[in-house]
Amino acid sequence: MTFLAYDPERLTMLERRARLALAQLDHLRSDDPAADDAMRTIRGVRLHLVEGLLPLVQRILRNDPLRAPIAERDDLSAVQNSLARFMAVERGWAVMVDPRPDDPQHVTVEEARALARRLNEIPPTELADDPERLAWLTGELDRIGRDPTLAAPFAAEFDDWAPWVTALAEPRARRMAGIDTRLHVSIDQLDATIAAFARTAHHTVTAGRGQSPALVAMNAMPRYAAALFVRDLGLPPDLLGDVAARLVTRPRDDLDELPGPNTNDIVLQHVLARPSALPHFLLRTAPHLAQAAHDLADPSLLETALLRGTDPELVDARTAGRIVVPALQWYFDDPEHATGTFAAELVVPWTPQFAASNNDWDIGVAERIELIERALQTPDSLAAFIGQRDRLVANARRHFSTGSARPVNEYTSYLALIGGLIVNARVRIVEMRKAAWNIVTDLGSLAVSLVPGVAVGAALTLGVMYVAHRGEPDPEAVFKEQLRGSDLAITMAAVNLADMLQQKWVAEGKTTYATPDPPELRADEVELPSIYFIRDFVDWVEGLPGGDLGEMSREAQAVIYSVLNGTVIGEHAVAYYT
Amino acid sequence: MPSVGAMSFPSPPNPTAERLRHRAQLLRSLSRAVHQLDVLDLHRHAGTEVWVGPSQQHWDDTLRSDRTALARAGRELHQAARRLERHADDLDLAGRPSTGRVA
Repeated sequence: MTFLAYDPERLTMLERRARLALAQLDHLRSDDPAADDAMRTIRGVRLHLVEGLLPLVQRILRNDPLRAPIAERDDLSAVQNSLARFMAVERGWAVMVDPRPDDPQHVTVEEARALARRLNEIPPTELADDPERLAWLTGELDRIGRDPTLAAPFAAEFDDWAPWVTALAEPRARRMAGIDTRLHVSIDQLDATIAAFARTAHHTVTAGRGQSPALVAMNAMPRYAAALFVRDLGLPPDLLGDVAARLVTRPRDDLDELPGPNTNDIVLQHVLARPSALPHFLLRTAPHLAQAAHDLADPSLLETALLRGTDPELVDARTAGRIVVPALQWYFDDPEHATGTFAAELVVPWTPQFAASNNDWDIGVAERIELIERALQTPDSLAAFIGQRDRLVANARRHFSTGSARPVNEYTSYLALIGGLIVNARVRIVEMRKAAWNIVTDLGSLAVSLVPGVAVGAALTLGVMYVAHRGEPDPEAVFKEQLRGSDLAITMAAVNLADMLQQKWVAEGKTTYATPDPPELRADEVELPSIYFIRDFVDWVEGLPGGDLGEMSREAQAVIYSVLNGTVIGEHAVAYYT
Repeated sequence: MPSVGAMSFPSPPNPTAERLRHRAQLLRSLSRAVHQLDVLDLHRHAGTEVWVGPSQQHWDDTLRSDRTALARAGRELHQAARRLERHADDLDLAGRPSTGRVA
């Protein structure tokens, strides 16, 4: 039953005006065929007044309105009659049963305001388990939320965000946990109503940023309720990131104790669906990852968020460092992570940042080496790392393609790092070993992208890292294998540079049929390929036009010795053979 | 002074054109009357400051759509009047009678 509230005096005025309007219409006449359409319209309007509006108004004015006490009538107290009730109680209007049924598609500003006021008055639990009334409320809120001209007045009047969302979230949590089967409303229905409430707040929340009453009210909701509410607020990415991070790091409450997906699952699922919010979220969550991971029904959610949120497409190197480093530390702190491959996958896009000569991240060399070592500690993690060859090489290429901003020694220290990490005794499976070598080869070929820097560079000190590996039965053998990997990687780079020089000379017309080919890589036959390369290199430059003092030789020596020189080879040899 | 043979005399009024102009005048008058109807503003006196409920919403919608329809009818009457006048002018220029049938 729906009600009609009216001001008798104003309605009487309406009747008078309608009569005057009708009299004017009655005076209009024309038998001109060119006026046929107009006269048809005039007759239609006249009919509306004569047969519709005037009889209705007269009937309302003739009828006795409902008598007081209006506020105590149950039927008028229903949330559907919020506006009629408000006008009757607050303004003293007369009320009667409306002869016309409610049109659920039609919501006025006054109705939106009245509904908000009524929702502030009635206990939310009255509706939370009433499927029919909840469906009506959801529909009404949906219509309000879709229209900013309705949502704004609704949000301005509505105060009880926390009680309502909490009253809807609590039965949802119990239902999800399977501990309250007596509920009449479904989880979908509860979700729909929470979402509808959130959508009415969307416009004011985005306009008022963190100060909007709906957002502030989230502090008074249980975490679980707030997590459901935030999903449909439509927050901009940075604000969503902040709000979501605050949620996952808030102290747990009773609803978190129930089985089933908990607050952090809900928040993470939502943030994952909005990748642009991930960096903001992760930057704020990074120092509290253990808390964010606590009791996740799906532990992979946080790892997925960290992997996606540190993608180079979303974040720059500095931002990534502020997430990746604490993420690795958190991951290694939990013994349950000992066998996972997450850490290996996390470091793949950012391997250049682990090299000794890189300064993108605020972390010491020893610490970052330890982190990447641990990330590749298990056979599975190493396999996962090697399996991402394309990504690894692509990201390294992007990093080193920034021209003069990247010094050559960063590249060589990077090669040493990767070579040492992946070309070692642990790579026993033939296919995997092959893939590992391919990575070294690919990375070695990146030297070409550094050619301008190399060609003009003076001899640079090569910072080669010796990557120790913990937990192996034969540390000495492992160390030697890793050293060989580093040596190979750097030699590979030198071979590529020599090839590149040769091509450049051919293009410049400096070579003849007698010009010898540059030295090749002798990786399979020798322990330290650099020793043999440098001998071949010396022979090569002597055979170049002009001999070892000629222009071509000097250019070749400047380039190759900046990557691979006597100091480096000496260090390798001493470390390897002693 | 022009010779008698060269002098021109006004054509006698075309009765059909006269009739068309008279119809146009009536249509213009009707158009003005439609544009001045009180019913065009009646929705302003039937808003939520007077009553609220499904009936109010219905009559708010109805009165607004009536207003739109009447305004359109007024415009169409005005356009019909102009068409009749143009036709009358054409008949005068042609100097011949016409059936006077104009849609």
